[in-house]
Amino acid sequence: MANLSTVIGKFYGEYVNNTPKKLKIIDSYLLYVFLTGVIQFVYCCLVGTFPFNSFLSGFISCVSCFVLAVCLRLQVNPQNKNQFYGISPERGFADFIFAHIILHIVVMNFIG
Amino acid sequence: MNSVCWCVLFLVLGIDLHMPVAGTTTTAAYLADTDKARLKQVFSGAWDLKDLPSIHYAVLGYKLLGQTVPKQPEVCKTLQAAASTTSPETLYYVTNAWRSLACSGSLPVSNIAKALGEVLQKETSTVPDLFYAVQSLNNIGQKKGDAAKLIKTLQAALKKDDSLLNLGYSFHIAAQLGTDGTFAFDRIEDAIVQADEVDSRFLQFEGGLSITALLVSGAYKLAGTVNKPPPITGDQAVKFANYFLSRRSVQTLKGAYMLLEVLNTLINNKFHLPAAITLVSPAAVSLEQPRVSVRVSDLLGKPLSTEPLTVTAESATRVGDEVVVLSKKKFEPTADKTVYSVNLMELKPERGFYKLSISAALAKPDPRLVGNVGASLTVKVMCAVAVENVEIGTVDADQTTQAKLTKVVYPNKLPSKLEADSLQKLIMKFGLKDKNTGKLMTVHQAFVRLYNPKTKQEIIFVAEPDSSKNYKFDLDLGSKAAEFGHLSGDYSLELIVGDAVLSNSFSWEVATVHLKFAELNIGAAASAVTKDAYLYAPKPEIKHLFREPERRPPVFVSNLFTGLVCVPLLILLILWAKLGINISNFPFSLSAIGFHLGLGGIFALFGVFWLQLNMFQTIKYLLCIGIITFLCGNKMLAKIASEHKR
Repeated sequence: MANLSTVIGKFYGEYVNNTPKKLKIIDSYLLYVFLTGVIQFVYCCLVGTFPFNSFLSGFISCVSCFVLAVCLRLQVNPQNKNQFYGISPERGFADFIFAHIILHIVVMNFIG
Repeated sequence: MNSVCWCVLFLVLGIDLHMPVAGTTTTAAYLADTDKARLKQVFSGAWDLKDLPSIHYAVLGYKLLGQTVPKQPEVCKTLQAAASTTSPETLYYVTNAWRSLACSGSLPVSNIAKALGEVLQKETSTVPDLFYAVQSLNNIGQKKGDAAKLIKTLQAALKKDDSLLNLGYSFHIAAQLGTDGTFAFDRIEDAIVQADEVDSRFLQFEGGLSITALLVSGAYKLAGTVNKPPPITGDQAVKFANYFLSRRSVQTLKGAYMLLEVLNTLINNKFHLPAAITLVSPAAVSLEQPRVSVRVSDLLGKPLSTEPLTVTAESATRVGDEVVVLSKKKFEPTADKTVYSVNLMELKPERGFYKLSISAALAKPDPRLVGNVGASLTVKVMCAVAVENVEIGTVDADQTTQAKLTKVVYPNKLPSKLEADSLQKLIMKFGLKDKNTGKLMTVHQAFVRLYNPKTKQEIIFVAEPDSSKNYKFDLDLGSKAAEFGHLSGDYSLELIVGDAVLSNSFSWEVATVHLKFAELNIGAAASAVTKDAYLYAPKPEIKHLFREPERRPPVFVSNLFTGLVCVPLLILLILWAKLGINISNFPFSLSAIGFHLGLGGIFALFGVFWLQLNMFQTIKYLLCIGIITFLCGNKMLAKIASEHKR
């Protein structure tokens, strides 16, 4: 147990110190989306799945936003520059926006 | 039940009287006086003088029926008024009726002759028009002009269209041309071959009565004119005659006239004379009514010749076992010249249905006579029935004791009331004897009817004969209690005997029986009653259950969680503030503002889409805003990228 708390403490210290600000912004956005999804899920467990389509659209919206933000984070991370050779962070952001537009029209359609 | 029995008997009798003749080569009917009266009634509709063709048919029809035309001067005046036309059909009606009435005025003969002459000259005249023209010219006593030209026009028209109607008219035209009519004589066979045989009894042409009558009368007329026998066999003539007589209830004037005209032709031609052999007496023959009468006449009911004919019953065959009971028995003439009768009961035939085969021959054999051999008529020999050895009584159902039977004699009733309860069986034995032969017989209907006078309910059972033709009626009261509805009481017992060949079918009240059934307990009785009542009572109403709406969470919970969902947003904003997020680097360029506005517009569009629009409209707006956003965004991001590189 003591090892676990040491590891977490070290991890947290590393994170706060060595992560660029941009990535931290995205990480906080990720946390927000995650929490929203959790709350939606708890609500569904409490009151049942009626109307099921609304629950699904909300939940999947959270999940997809999370995934897209993770993708953006990967692309924007300067340490991954080699893997995304030829794709600038701006291009990643543009893809992020485009994917969000499509996601939201689908979600809006499905929310009923 | 009685009335049903009599109705059945009556029906059977009725069916017998109208049973169709089975033979193929005889005429089964003739135009009786009632038919002639009916046809006269049909014609009399024309005397309001409104319709020229009707007047024409009525005038000619009356002449054929031998009746005088009423209001003759008015009719002649109407005809004269209609004569100023050039239509060959109208002129045909006018001149035909004029000649038949022998009207006293005068028709504009020269005008008519001119108009008709033009019709005959025209090479495109239709065959009916040629017929009308030829006939009309004949009626007013004018010559028909060049016969050869007429024949040529006729043949050309037939080549174009040789339908049955045209052939019929051409036979009539050719019949007016004397020996020149031979050209059409060869076409008679073509026409006759197209006749349809129905049921091997009728021959008719497609198109019905008028066309068939036109063709047949035309064929005979033409054959008479060229003096050669037509290619129509005697059998065919009889079948045509059968068809015409089957249409004797025609209601149209034209049909009635054509029928009379063709019947007259069939009687008055030189080649065939169809004979009609029909049954005059009722079809039921019994000791009280032993004679069978037949009428041998021509198609209009007139005698075939002035001398009496020799009418012979060739054979009488019983239906069912095909026993022949007579052969070659001569009929005797009666006061009516067309009716001949014979005493059938002399031969003491057994009861049943018999098919008589009858032939008629003239003293001087006439080769024209057809349909006079092998006429098949069905008669019914009746008998009287006597019921004897009637015993009625009860016996225990388990047959431990002997049956207690009492004799009853028809038509008396059993003086004492018979008592029977549900442990017993009701028994009746009887025998049915044919009074003529003295032998036991079986009948179609041997019923026992039990009638409750208080509730007016009845129940009918069948009595079965055994192998020696003794009838027995056996009623097990225990097992049949349900059919009586467990209703104890007095019932009158009747024996009903009936058959088609019985002349004295009867219904005889034999006895009064007092039946005692076991009382049912209330539940069983009620259920027995309700079971039937349920069948006829209205069924229980089915209440429709609408789909229940889903259970919704209470409003408070929903609002609470709506609030809870906003909490992470707050957390996000706090974290971002802590991280020091800023928009200090916001480039206030057109593209940047355009991009942000466009993006905001897109998400606002989605909100409106959720509330109001459908997908098509949304996609439309999205395309517009999207292109702007894309262009601005592209420019903005490119600028940021180039700044980064520097």
